Amino acid sequence: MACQGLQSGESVASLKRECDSLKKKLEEERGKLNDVELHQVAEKIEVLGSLSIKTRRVLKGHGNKVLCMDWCKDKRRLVSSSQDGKVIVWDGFTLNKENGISVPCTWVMACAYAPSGCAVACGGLDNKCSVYPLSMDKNENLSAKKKSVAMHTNYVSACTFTNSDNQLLTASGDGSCALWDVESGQLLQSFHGHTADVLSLDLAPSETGNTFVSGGCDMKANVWDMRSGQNIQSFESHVSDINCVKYYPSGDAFASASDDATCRFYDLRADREVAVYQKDSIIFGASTVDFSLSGRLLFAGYNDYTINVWDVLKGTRATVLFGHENRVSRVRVSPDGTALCSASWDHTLRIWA
Amino acid sequence: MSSHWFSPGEDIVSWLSEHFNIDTSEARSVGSMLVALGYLYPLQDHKKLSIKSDASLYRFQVLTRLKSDLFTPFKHEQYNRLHKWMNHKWDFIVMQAKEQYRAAKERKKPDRVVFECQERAYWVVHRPPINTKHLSFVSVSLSADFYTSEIDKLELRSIYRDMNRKPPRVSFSLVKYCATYHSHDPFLSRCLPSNPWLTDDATYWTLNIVEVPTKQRVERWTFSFGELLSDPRGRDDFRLFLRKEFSGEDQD
Repeated sequence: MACQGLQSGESVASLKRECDSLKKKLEEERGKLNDVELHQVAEKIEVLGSLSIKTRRVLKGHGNKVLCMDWCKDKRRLVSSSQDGKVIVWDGFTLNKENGISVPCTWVMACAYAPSGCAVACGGLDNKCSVYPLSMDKNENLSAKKKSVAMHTNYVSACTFTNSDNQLLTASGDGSCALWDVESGQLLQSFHGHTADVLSLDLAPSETGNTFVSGGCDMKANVWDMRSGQNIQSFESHVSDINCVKYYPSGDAFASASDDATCRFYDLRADREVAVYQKDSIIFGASTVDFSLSGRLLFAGYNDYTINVWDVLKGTRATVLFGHENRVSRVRVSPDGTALCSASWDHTLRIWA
Repeated sequence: MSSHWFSPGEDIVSWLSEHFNIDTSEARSVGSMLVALGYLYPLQDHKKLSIKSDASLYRFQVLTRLKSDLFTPFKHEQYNRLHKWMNHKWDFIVMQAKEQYRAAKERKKPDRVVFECQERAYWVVHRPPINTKHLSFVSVSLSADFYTSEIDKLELRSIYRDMNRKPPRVSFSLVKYCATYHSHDPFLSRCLPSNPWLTDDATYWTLNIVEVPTKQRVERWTFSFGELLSDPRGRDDFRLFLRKEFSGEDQD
């Protein structure tokens, strides 16, 4: 009934009330299915040995807060974007800056490496997401070859290429996500359902998956079907903004990081939250999460300058990584799982192994 | 800043470590955050906003009074609301505010730093409400539709459960996936021959793409078809196999 347009006596407020009562009913129904917790299932699993993760590289060169980063498929190059409008392509191993791009806006909140390694995409407060082809020539002006692909009515908070260089998926502060054709800049599919800013998205890892997950200021994490544009699953257990969502490597689950100082783990097949990662001493919001190659470790960056490493199965904390001197804005494990890269408001990136 | 107490940094750190049951390095980082947000004020070295676990003193502060120069739309709205609410004594309030502003200007620099920190902390606690201007009829009705379909799905599931008399469980596949890939996760097991990031020597980069695959690499081919095809050597071997079976043209 809801989508037939506004009928007499109906208003957004009355619909919202209906929505809330439906939500309550849904929670009750979910509660009826009493399930076991993940740590009970994982009881027989071996306890983790001690981890020796140290900073191996520090990437200096940004003049302001680093807001986003992404690895190249070649396992050693990476791209990072900063609040001052600079985007840098690094060789993480030698610390060489291979390309630098000045984006005509501040707060470049999203950047992504193309699967082929030949281009990067970035966007931010300009409400756009642009693709820049990379060149071997360090001095070439990349802005000349810029291609504006996505266009939103509010800031772009996240972007990622799908499994080819031809399609770009973006999330925006206007509450929507959208799939774009890179070549023509045409909108292929839009995804509506969030009731506030979308802050993060992640593509399902398997090539046949065709789903992605998004999280935002409405405290919801939604799973979408890319082809139909339908919201197929939704999870609401966080009590503040969801800053980051990330698929488990097998694609059967995902983790989220929120301003409520917790990270949560959702099983897509069981259709519910199966673990909460929290601790009394952690009182600041989590801004970003990523899994290790096996999915056993969850790296989570926090606003209290630390990176906490969680044992996904046991629900306990494995270790803490100190080093950054300001908020950690993004953590990403390299494609082969050998290293973790973290971006921070202290103007640097660090590579841990 | 109505009430305050003093305490040496080492006591604060050890209390935090005991209270939260954490080690001292983490207690130090929690303490430093309290300093950075103005709940603790370093009396000796007020430029450095972090906690030292020695005898240097720190003052606990209760955040009571805050000034604000920056007027965001949210603050504007609150200002107008207050104006309407306290209209009858508005002149007095303005006078008082001016007085406070003058006093703030005369204050010493370290004090001003603390006030700034306090204000930041205030907005961490009293966050403006989320931006609801995108909250349109369409998105609300979409979520209403979504809830209805979810409830239907759950009802179906409970019928299914009653028929099978088995509760739906957490997917064991999650645990199994961890176990399968455990020895291949460089953070959990030693990477062979060595993790390339540990040295400045680039040889391990080239070693990882050599012609002779390691035992580990071949083992991963058995996990899934995708693993086999994503490895260049695996793809070549598979192509060779297909050619032998006279079906090489199917691969593309």
